[in-house]
Amino acid sequence: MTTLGTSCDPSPTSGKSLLDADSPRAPRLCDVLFFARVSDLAKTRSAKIEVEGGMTIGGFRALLIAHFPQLKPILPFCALAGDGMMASDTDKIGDIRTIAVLPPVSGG
Amino acid sequence: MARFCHDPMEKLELPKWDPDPTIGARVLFTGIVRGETEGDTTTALEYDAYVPMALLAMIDLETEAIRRFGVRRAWLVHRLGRVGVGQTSVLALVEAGHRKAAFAACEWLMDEVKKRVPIWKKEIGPNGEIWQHPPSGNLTPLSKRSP
Repeated sequence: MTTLGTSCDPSPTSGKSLLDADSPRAPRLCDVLFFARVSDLAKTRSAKIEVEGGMTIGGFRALLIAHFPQLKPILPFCALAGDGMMASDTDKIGDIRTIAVLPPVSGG
Repeated sequence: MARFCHDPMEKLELPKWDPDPTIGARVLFTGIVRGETEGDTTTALEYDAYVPMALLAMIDLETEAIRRFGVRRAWLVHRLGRVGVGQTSVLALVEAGHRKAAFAACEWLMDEVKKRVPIWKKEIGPNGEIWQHPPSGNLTPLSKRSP
């Protein structure tokens, strides 16, 4: 697991109010999952990346490239899923906890 | 219900479904790892999957096969991890009133597994290893599940 960005501790003892922590725009860590070739390129199966709820999935792609520039060539061919549901680039991250980076599939 | 299998599937027990007098056909497809494709040698395949999402996708396919083809039962099982040549990597089982619907549903299920389920295979051979990411395997938001 790789952690990227500044952690946002939502606990009352962190100095932030719960209201701030729960705000959709409050920065927080999001789990990011990598598979197959994407995992090989990222050299990890997962990472924690700081996001804001107001960010779009498309914006998250750019953020991902900033953290993992080696993914730039393959990312346009990858779908992104938020909490297990396919997401389009215009979708907001909102309260999504886990984003999976899914390269073209090849089961069977 | 669809499932993944970490162990060899050769000894996998088929589901013990209740007898159904309307069933007249059972089609069982097993995909096995091919050792040679157009002159290229494969020694094994290695499967990776986003398991929670893939399971839901396979269950959706089973349900859709029943609705689309009017078959009575459908079952998908997929291997994970390293699978040797000659071993089973995927299984699709369909029961229906008549064979045409059973064959059609089984073929459709396999086509859709290759397009809609987040599973990936790496080909391992004497010249190295390579993940298979065909353009036809692009997942799009069109397959977004209803909330």
